[in-house]
Amino acid sequence: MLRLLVSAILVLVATYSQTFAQDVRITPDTSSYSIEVAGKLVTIQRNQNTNNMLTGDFTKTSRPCPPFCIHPMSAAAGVETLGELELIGFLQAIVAPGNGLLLDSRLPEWFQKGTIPGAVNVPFSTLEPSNPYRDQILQALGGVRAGSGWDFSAAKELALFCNGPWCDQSPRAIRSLVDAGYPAGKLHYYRGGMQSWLMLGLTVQTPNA
Amino acid sequence: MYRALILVTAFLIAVSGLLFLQGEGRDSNDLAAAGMTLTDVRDMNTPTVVQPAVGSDLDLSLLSSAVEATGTSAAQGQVSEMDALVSSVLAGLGAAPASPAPVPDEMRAATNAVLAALSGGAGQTPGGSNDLATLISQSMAAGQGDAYLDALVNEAVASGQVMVPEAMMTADGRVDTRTLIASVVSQSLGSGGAVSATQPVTQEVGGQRYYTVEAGDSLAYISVLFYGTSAQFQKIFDANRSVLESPNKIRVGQTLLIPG
Repeated sequence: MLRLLVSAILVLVATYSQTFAQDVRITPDTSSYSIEVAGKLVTIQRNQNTNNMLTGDFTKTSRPCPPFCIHPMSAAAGVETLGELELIGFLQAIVAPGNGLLLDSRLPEWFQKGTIPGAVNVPFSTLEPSNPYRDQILQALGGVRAGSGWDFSAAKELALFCNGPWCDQSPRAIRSLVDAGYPAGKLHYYRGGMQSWLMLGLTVQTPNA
Repeated sequence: MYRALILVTAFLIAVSGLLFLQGEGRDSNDLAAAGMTLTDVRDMNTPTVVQPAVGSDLDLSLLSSAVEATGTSAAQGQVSEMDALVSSVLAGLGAAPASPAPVPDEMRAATNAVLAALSGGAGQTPGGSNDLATLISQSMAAGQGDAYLDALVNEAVASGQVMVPEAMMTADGRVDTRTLIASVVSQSLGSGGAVSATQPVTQEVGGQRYYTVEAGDSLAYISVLFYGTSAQFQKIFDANRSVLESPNKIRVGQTLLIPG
């Protein structure tokens, strides 16, 4: 009888802690988002360990500025700044149907350490005017050569991010795109970047985790 | 590990860059003989996206040594990282570079990597380019046999443009494309890097397993035979250091101890 009671209690405790463990949601109603991006299902949720803490690179408070200076809320006039929910919304509403892309502006070695699910790596350096092959990238984004300039009316909407509010790479990429004639209205800036994404325990996609 | 990935990327890019050059220029090479240029392969447009094998220990460890080797060729002015990056991007976007630069530079590589990423969408392997893997998948989807790929890879290696990990060299001094291809296939099928191999014949001596090297074997392949993954080649190599000078120095008929 006692044994039965003990096991019943154990079951209850186990069930309870399990429920409890799934209590780190993204919003009150949603614990995860599954979004199909380019034929691949990505799932975004949060780390369920309520004691989890960041370690390593993204716990640094005092990177030297310059170059790691604090960036303004807006990357360029007319470019919308996104938070995490807006970014997820962008993935759902724009990227999933194929009308836009989430671009990781960092260099490949950072991208490989982990990125936001669904992101593609377009390092900021490849969007600079100094890249003699940049036109091919602009074309791939949907730009069409028109005389000496570009017609971006059919180009994809883009959301760009890098390591965080102290990272210059996505703002730079955005400036390069705007200078090339990319409509600011098609550009979005996730200022929080990997720093905020990781700090919230959101899913990170790594190549070899 | 990240360095290893970069190296892998560089390696793949080097191969793809080579393929570009081959596809464009020489008519009498093996590729043309196989009736297919790189452009053809890309035009197949097969949506096979090779996944970076999350959790699969595939050949990354093997390829990492190749990456280092690729660094050497970069030093020789053959392929720079940036060039590789650009090429893979372009490839990914499905837009073959308009003019394959005879002397690739860093931005070429970076741009190609971006293009590859853009065309691959979210399926992109972090690391940018799975170009060799993609190429292999696509040409397989296009009905190209292993012989074609074998010729492709071996030619690239023979011309010194890419280096292959020593464990991927067979007892006959060729690239072990069997294992390479199998890895790519299993990756694209998402089967976690397990490569099926026939049951190997071993001898038991004093409670130890021994395997006799056959023609076409590489350490990587033997690793697949016994452990289901090529990544364990180092274990075999370590167990046989007394008879093996380096992982590519295995001989047909040689007896190797297979650690349990």
